[in-house]
Amino acid sequence: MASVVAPAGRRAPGLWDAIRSEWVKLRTVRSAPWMLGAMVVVGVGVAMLSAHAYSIAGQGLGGCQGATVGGNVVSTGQSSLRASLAGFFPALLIVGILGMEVVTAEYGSGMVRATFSAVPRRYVVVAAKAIVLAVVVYVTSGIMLLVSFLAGQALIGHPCSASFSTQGVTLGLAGGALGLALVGLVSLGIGMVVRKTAGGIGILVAVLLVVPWILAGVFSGTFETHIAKFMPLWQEIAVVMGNTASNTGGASGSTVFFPPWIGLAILAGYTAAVLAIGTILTIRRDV
Amino acid sequence: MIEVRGVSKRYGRTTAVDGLSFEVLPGRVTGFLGPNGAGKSTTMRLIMGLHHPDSGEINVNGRRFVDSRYPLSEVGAHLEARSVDGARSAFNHLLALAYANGLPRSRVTEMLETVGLAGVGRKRVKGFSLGMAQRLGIAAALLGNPPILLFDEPMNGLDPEGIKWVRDLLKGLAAQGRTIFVSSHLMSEMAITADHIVVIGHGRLIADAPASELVSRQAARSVLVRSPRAPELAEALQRAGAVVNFGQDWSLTVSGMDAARVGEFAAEAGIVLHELSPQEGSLEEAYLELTAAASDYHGVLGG
Repeated sequence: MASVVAPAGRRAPGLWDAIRSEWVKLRTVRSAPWMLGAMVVVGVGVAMLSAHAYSIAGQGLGGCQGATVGGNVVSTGQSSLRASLAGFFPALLIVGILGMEVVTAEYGSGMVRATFSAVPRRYVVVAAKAIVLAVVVYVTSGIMLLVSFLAGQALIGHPCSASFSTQGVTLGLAGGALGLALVGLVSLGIGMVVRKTAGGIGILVAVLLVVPWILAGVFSGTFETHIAKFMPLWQEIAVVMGNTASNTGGASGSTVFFPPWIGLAILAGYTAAVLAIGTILTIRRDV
Repeated sequence: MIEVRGVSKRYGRTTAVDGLSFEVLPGRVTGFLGPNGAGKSTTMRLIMGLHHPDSGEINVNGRRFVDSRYPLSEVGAHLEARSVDGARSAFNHLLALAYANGLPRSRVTEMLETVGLAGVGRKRVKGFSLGMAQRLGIAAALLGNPPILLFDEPMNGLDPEGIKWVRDLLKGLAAQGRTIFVSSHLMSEMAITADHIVVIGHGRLIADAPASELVSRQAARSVLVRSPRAPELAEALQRAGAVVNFGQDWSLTVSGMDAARVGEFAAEAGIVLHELSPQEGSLEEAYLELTAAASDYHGVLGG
């Protein structure tokens, strides 16, 4: 009987232990570190190309080139910011796949049964996965956006380059990383609903891109003024690309956005809703 | 102790488990047997809270497993050999599970040594043979040193040496006072390993008895008789309600009557007997007889 040791005296495991477990899982399958590394490399690379193209175009015009975002002409600093943060788009796809895989890989391999045998309170597993994913994506994409910005601005050079004090820059960096983390969480939530990577990615792309495109086609007059601001990706792009509060007034024909922090709050709301649905289904369904 | 009380589970229109009740007690190996599709794996998943029953309740240590405070240290389960992400190494797979329960890294190393995987702990599970995957699953079940252990077909894919290892392990764990619940289709193996047998078919309980009792129940039903006047004796016994089968060289296999009654009958009729022996039934025979009616495919045993 000696080896039937009651765990008395040992601290009952909780959320922190689940987080440590999920961190081990994330860093010990090769695909996750690879995807995050690829996100930084591709993101910075695309930003450099974009910044390079911007500086050439600017030189061609004999000065700094302005740009239009959603029909709004934005200032030069914001345009160069936009050019240097172009890595946001490839990062979006990679984060979407990563967030999905965190869940779907477990269902695909059957690991989920071992996971829920070790942590039968499934919401704890969900919370741990969400926290680990959000932090990892926020930090990694934050680094990616920061490097993209610094390298991009160096490439663009004075006088067209933006600095941290340029309006929309800190917001673009912080909001961009936050937005990517939220997209990762939306993807995780969808993964919990569909349990399969392929179907989940399809739904994610539909939610982020296809549905807005259809809406834009159907409501061609009112999409920009009344609907676009509720589209998660549109709102997020507005934040990253420096479409700040100053141009939410909406001259006719231009796209109207919420102020950036309200936009991020709406994104967070969507994310919470998807995560809630995913969590409820995860708890209720057989695995 | 595991208590299964009136549990039913349907998947669509298929009833996998139907009003099942039994208990698994500590200090012995309880074998869980049944033909293919009998509901063994479903029952194990229900015990672990992985699947939710439509009705009934299952308690481990007096409460639902989902309410465990120290899950891996209360119930260890090895349900499927491939409940592992193949991209991960054996060590990291166990480490993730150990950390989830606040267990130290050293426990992982210890368990890899216990199951004989220390040498391949850093290798990816994808390349493991079924036997190695079984050992890894057993290591995962043992991580938290739990008093209750579930094993679903742990001997599948193991070589004879591996099977002996699992058998000795299960017996050793039971001898330490743990509750051991193990499903298998290897009848001969359960005959050696299990102290108690639960048999199900079509999701219903067929038998729940000590292994020795199942065997003797079977034995009591059949008696081998040899006599120079076999046909006459057979007729007399049949009149008395026994079932008689003729074997080779005029031997009779009598069931539905014990050896003593057969002897008395022969004496009353003045028939000489050359042999009168109760048949030592095997667990295999007992099992085949029990599950014959419940089996979907006669002659096919397994999972």
